[in-house]
Amino acid sequence: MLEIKNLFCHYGKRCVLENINLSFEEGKFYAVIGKNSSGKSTLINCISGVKGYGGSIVCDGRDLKSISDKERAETISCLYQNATQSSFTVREMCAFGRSAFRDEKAERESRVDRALEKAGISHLAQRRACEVSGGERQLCYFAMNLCQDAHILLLDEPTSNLDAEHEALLLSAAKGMCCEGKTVICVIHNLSRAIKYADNVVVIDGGKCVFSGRKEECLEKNVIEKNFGVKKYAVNDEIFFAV
Amino acid sequence: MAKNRTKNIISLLSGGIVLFVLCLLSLRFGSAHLSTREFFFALTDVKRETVGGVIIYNVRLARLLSALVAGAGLGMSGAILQIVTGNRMASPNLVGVNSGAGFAVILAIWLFPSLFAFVPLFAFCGAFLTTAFITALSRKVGVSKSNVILIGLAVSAILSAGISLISLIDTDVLVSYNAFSVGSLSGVKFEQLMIPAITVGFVLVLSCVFSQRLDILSLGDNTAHSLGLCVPRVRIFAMLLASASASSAVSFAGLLGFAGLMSPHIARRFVPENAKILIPASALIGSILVVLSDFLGRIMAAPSEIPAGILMALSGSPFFLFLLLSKGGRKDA
Repeated sequence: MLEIKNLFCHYGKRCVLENINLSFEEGKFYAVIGKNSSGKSTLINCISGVKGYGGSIVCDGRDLKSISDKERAETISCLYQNATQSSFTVREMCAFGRSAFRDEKAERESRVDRALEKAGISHLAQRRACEVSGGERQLCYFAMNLCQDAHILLLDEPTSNLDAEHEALLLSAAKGMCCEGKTVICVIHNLSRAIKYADNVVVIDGGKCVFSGRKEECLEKNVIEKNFGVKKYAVNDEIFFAV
Repeated sequence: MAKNRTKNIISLLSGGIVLFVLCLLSLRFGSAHLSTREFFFALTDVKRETVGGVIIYNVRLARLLSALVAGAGLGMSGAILQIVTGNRMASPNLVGVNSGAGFAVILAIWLFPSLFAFVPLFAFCGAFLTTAFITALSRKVGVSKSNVILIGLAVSAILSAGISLISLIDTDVLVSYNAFSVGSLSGVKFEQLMIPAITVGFVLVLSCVFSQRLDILSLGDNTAHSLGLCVPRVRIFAMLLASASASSAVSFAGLLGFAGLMSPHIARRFVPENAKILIPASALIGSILVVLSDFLGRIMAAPSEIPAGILMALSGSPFFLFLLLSKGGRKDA
């Protein structure tokens, strides 16, 4: 269980997140949605520890500010928006996911194989990450996250560089992590995708959390329509949103 | 995987062979002529009983070793800095090694002319303290890649202005300072090499031990943090390693900074980005560049000589441009 209590975050004098209180349960997929500059990525950066904050973020009773680097790697793994170019092979990069741990070589290789397969990039294993497309590189970093096998997976707009097929692949794989008891917190702009994959929805607006609850509740209360000015429609039992 | 490893070993071995041949040439040729027979006879004359033995062991070997150590130190330093700053333009100059060493040397020559013999010590202290100062300032504002680079540039600019100011106040110091600033290996003694060689060797071992952390740092600060790395600590540690290595080199060789920029770029043509391979390969290429520049500088203008620093910048820059512009170049990360 991840709990955020009275979270405040500033960039200079500007308050970006204000009094955020949220809790994230194990085995659930949380879609964090909101307009541009609403504070979604800052929330992810606070949880991952790259941005300083006021208040507390507690995971299984332990404040994230007080845990060691290795414990943090065991607890939280994060996929950021812009995947840095690298000359390492996709396989080598994936293996970096286990760099904080002392695995046996065979176990590590097995984890790498599984992660590459889940991310759908086994065929790219020996290619250099700087020689694959931007979307494939994003999947390479995602494979690294899968290989890291942390309790909480943070995804900051992970599908921004991906085509529809790979977007579905990544989100399905992330959803699959929930079945293994992991918590997935995903910042996502595509509202239809968010509703399709999420168990719970968090809506951030102007640095404040305006809704947090089950997907069904979000749909019943027309939260998305009210906050984003979109209309909801259904095709073959799948819900879509459009302006 | 095995294929890549074999390729890396072949690349390093090839570099080693080239360096070995250059070392032999460097010992064989110089302002004093030695026939091939005299040369091989002198090589066996470890007790230095012949003129050839004295030339080889007292003069050329010390010079060769100084070129090897200086090149390795600067090449390694450049590779580490390029990894930790994520900037292919990074070199020891960027973290104040040249400006710090230069300022300390010209200040010492100006204020304490009688202590000229201690120039290597001043150079080392100036270079290392400047980097430590830049690192400390970066730490205060957050040790990000861009902060390190910007603070390095600002501090270097201040120190360069200090060098210009002192040289304007007392033009006499320029003669002594120029001898240091052009980067020459002339007159280097064995005794001067002991500590720098140990330092460079120590940095090489440590950088290989911590190579995986450097590799992870190259993926970006946020990703490295997510993978469990303490980014500021690793970056500061790596910068101090790079500084110690480059400061050791400039302490006796003068301002040969260009080797620090070129070596990692050339090394990347033959070996992968992996720090465990790239850092030793950059050290090897750095040694090749400095030994070659020193060798050519001695034979091209014999019995006089062109300092290695000048020749390296003159010949190295076009070669460097050629490498960057060549179509067969590996796609840069």
